[in-house]
Amino acid sequence: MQTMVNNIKAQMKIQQMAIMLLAVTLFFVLIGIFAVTFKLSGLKETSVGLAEENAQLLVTKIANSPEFSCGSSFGTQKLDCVDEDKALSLKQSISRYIQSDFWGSDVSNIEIRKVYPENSKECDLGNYPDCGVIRLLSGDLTGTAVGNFVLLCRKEASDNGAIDKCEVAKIFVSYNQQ
Amino acid sequence: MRSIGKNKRAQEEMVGFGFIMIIVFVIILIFLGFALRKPAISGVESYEVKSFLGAYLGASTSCEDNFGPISLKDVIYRCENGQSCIDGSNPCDVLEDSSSNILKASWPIVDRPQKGYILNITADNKEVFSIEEGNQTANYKAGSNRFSRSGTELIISFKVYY
Repeated sequence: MQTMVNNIKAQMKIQQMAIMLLAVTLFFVLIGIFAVTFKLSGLKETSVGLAEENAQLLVTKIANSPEFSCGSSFGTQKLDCVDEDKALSLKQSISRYIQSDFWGSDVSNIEIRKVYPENSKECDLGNYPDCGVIRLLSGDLTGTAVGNFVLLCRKEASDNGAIDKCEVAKIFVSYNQQ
Repeated sequence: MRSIGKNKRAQEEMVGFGFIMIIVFVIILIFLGFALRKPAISGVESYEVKSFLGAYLGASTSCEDNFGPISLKDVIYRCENGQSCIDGSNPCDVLEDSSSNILKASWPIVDRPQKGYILNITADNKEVFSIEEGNQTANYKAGSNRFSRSGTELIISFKVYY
């Protein structure tokens, strides 16, 4: 009788130990899963943030590239200044740039849109400069688009000769996020 | 009888341990719920604010000099100096109209991430011009530009609230 009781006690103790070990193991496994999930969620946000930073650098690079930038044509050298006349000329010969992935294979379209005065007409040789959107490629912006403000300048004829006319615009670069 | 009592105690200890585990898991879940929440999307970037200021200052206005339309930067100087435009118009009125139109078009506050903005122009710490719109929330992105001409230091600061 005493042996039976001792056996039962021993079994109880073994069961308690087993359950406790199981619980502690589960506890640490769950902690580990939560910690890994927490770390990995931060990684995704970091990669998206880096992609956006790269896109923003791309916008700045394109706006200040010789194909678009004002240079010193409109007084002193200006940063983030786009020559509207150059941009429209570029639209006419854009196929060479696209075929050679000049701005990178991820860039799908570049659009310059006048903010003020607003005008939704797409520019072509027939309506320039009475228009507000210069889209280098046909079709809408696809993928992810990042924009930034630029100064859009052109030369206009007047009684006193050529004058500078500058307006606030936004340049949008759409790219395919990988 | 004693062994039954001891068994009951052992069961009570296991149940107690189980309760502690459950409480700890719940606390961890609450903590992780806060930690894994997506951060608020601002929709306004500081590089946009800085670039906007550059574009704003270079924009042509209806105020002209002998060579044609002058930029907002030059209009600010004329407003501060009290020097009128070639057609006699007040540069401060041109500054107000142009700034209001450009800001309304560039930073609409209806159905947008930005909820308000404020633009301040000071000359040697005295206010030349100020314009604000919308609500000033606790979050904002800001940029400023400073330059001097004829010994006067002009500071243009711009804040967008979101």
